[in-house]
Amino acid sequence: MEGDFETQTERQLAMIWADVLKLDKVGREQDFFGLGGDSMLATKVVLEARRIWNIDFTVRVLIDSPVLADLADRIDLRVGQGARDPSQEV
Amino acid sequence: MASKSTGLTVSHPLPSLWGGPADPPCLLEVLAMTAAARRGEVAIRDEDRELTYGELTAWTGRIAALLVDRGIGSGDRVAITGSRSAAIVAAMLATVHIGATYVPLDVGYPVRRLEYMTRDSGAKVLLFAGSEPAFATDVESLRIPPPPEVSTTDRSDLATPRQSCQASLPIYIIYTSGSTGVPKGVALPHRCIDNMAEWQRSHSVRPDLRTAQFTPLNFDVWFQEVLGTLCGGGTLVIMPEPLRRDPIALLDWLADNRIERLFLPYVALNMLTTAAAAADSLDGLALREVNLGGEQLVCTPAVRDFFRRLRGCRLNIHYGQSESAMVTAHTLSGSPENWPTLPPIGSPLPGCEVIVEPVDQGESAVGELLVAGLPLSAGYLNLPDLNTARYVSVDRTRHGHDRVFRTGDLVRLEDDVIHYVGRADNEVKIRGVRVNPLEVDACLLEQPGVTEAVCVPIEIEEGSRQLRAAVTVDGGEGALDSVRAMAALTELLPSQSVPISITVLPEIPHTPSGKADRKAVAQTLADMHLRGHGRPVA
Repeated sequence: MEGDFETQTERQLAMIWADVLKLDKVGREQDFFGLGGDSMLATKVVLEARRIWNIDFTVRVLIDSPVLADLADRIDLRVGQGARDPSQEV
Repeated sequence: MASKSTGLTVSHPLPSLWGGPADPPCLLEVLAMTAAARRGEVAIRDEDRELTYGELTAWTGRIAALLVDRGIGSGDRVAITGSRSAAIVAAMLATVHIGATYVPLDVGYPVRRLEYMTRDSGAKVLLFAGSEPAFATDVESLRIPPPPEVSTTDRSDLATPRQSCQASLPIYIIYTSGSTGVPKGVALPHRCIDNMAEWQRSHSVRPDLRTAQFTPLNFDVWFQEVLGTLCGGGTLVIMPEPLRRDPIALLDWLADNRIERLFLPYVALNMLTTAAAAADSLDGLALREVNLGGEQLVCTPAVRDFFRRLRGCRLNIHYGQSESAMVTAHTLSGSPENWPTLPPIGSPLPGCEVIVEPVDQGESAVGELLVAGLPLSAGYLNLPDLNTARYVSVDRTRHGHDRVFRTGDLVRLEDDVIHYVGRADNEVKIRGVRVNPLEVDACLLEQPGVTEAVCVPIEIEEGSRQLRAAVTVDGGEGALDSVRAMAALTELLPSQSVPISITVLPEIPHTPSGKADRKAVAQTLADMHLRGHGRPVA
């Protein structure tokens, strides 16, 4: 996907959002719920993120960090932590 | 068929189903007997406390004494506000115990709506749990007192005052979305709720199931969870609020709390089964029964898969509305592969008669569902015209009923069960909650510059229905302050009624008869979403 993404995680996450929200383009500063996301669509995004990055996020994480770049940061943080210490909570 | 001269009477014979006779006991007497028999067993649990039936009885008695001390008695209305909790349950029980009527005020609702509901209900006192209410009222507000210390040897019971058990005495008043821009309140009497509680107690796989309290305070299913469980001697476990939007965390919570019975709207079941499909194992779940209400069930592959993996868990479909609580039910058991994709809403509860008033004479089994018998409530508060239109007289049926409630639901009667077809009006379900888009239209029209407004449901995909609004504005697109308009709606409407976007159109399409063409508006807004336009207001 085209865009001013700063990390690979942002780009990959944007593709998941676009797929779930049925949008052509998603920007890194955009808010999931502002784009028309609801709890059901949020569930789909989080399930996909859990599968791809092998992290134990719940929907709460997306509700707390609805901006794409912020959520990507939290994923990177958890993936990094997971590599060091799987028991660590974000 | 409705007689056009009055528009209000219905003649027989029409297709109907009868649930058989019923003589339900007063739920307060059932509660008292259950509490006496299970004094030491856990009745209710929330994040703050766990109470036995003995402790809950003592707490109810303390709150009842406080109300009586303030001069509250039979027929008075008691508004109660807070977040879902054991305290709200105890305060509701205390209110009903003294013959007063409970008015739930969910703190999640907009302040102006809560103020309206308090005023319209004629509440004499406001009880609250947690922090002081953020809304203004003319009535005294009192904090719900904490549960008293009870010694395990204390055998005192709470005797039920006889005057609290009259069949016509209202137990609660709840509000639903109206078409005029303000919510409408309806009062539900003992005969209706006693019948619902007795039916729930005797029709679950066990009367004393460990049950999640999932439903928000302001909805009728809340009473089914609470009264159905406590009358049956089960344990009610109050779910933490954030889990309502988080099916992934909810699955863990259901397992950790060994929940056996769950009441869900369809959208929540859809979310839960979607989350479950990604889980390696469901072995931790203790679910025996899922009760689905609020909206037509669609047996998706994820729903079938969920119940196949939860061997032995039944799926019940419950149908009713705020005006009548429970009306019909249907149980799906056996192999989920054999469940119909669109299961029926079932057959009437004991004491309930349902009548189908055909919309088209050529097809007598399809029409508006009319409800008679025990579920019939006393009507809307302070809305005589609406009562005249919706609570109508009929020729006496074979089972002795001459008054019915017009549900506005279109149904088909086939093989002695009722199938849901659709709505006779514009009402929609958003996240399982009734929303009248005309109420949203009315609120939008109050915003500066708005000349026409149409709010419609859009489905981005199955199970994800959301409201979006289109308006025309004096002076064109730039003339609408959408952020301000959205903020104004948030002050007036509960969250499920607030559209996620307001789009200014050059004009609203109209049908040949001159009415707004709601389908065309929905199509326009859906197309704009796909093209990335009409982005919601942040």
